[in-house]
Amino acid sequence: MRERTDEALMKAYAKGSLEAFELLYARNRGILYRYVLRQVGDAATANDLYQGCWEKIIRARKRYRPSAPFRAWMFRIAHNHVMDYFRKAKPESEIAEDVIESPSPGPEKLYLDQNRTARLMEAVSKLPFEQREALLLKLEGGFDIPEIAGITGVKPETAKSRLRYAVNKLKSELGEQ
Amino acid sequence: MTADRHNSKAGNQPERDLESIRSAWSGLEKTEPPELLDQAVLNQAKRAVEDRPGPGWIPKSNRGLAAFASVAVVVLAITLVVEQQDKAPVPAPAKLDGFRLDLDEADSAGSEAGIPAEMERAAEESPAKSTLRKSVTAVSSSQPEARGAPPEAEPMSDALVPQPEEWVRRLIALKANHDEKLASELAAFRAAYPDYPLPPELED
Repeated sequence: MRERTDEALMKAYAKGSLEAFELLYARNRGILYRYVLRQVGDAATANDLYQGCWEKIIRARKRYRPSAPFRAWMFRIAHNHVMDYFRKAKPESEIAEDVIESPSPGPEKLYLDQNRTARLMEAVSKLPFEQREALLLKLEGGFDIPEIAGITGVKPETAKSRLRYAVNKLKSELGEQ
Repeated sequence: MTADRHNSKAGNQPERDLESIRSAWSGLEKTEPPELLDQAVLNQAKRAVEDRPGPGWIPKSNRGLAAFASVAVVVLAITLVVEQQDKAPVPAPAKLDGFRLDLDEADSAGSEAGIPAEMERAAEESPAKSTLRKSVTAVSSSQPEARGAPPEAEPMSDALVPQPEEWVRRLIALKANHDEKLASELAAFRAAYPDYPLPPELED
């Protein structure tokens, strides 16, 4: 039997099929959760934001058009939602600085030793918001540069340079230069 | 030849770096959402498709009133837009060259990769360019009240994308003027704010 695409499942859910949503959710829950968690750093905030993302996806179900890949559409909603969180959490003057660091490495870090993985997590949490987001969309979402640009609402050159800066900073933090 | 090989090596370096990070990243634990959270989302999805009227539901008897209210809001919005346009300062193009240069950078990578056209347009054809130009014009003009005014809050990375409320007002004005840019602006809006509810007059 041919597997139904995410786009078809979302359309089916918009028409009322809960079964379609369950399948769609099972496929996408992990990557969306990790994207949110690694953006904000702490599990309690991540849980709230994650649920908020799905709430928006559910409410927007009838506005979804299959011409847009579902994952890119879902991540655009998540991007806007996470940005709203940071806007509300930080004074505007700080937001304008264009650099938003994760508040803390989060509870995940407590379980990680001083190994390379732990250092990687730490280094990622120190990246400016936009670079971290580009990197997470690449590593967690598997998106390419134009897709990252579409999700974050910037030009592909900008997305590419954010990713390059992120990679260079990580290399430098991890002592590989 | 050696130089070519060197260049190609250098060109591949970012890819190799990314690959090395990806490999380390794959060693991270694949954190999943807690089960209770899954249940909450699934319950929410279920409630949404059940035939229960939500908070935005309007009884049939009040729908005429709701339509009247929508029309009143549209008229008010158009009036405000027209009034603001009348008050807008005269553009000062000489001061804006730097911004134009930055905003008009050519970009073709998006279409090559086949991402949806409307998502690209959201980043590139949004009314943001004119917004930014207008706000820069306002700040750089010689009018004292404009210079003294606080700059508009610019949200982080998508500083060029207008806030949805402002964008919707502009869409309504485009519709009222039968402007042919409406379709492309609507597509760009939907790509930038997929979950934002449009007023009924802007829905298909």
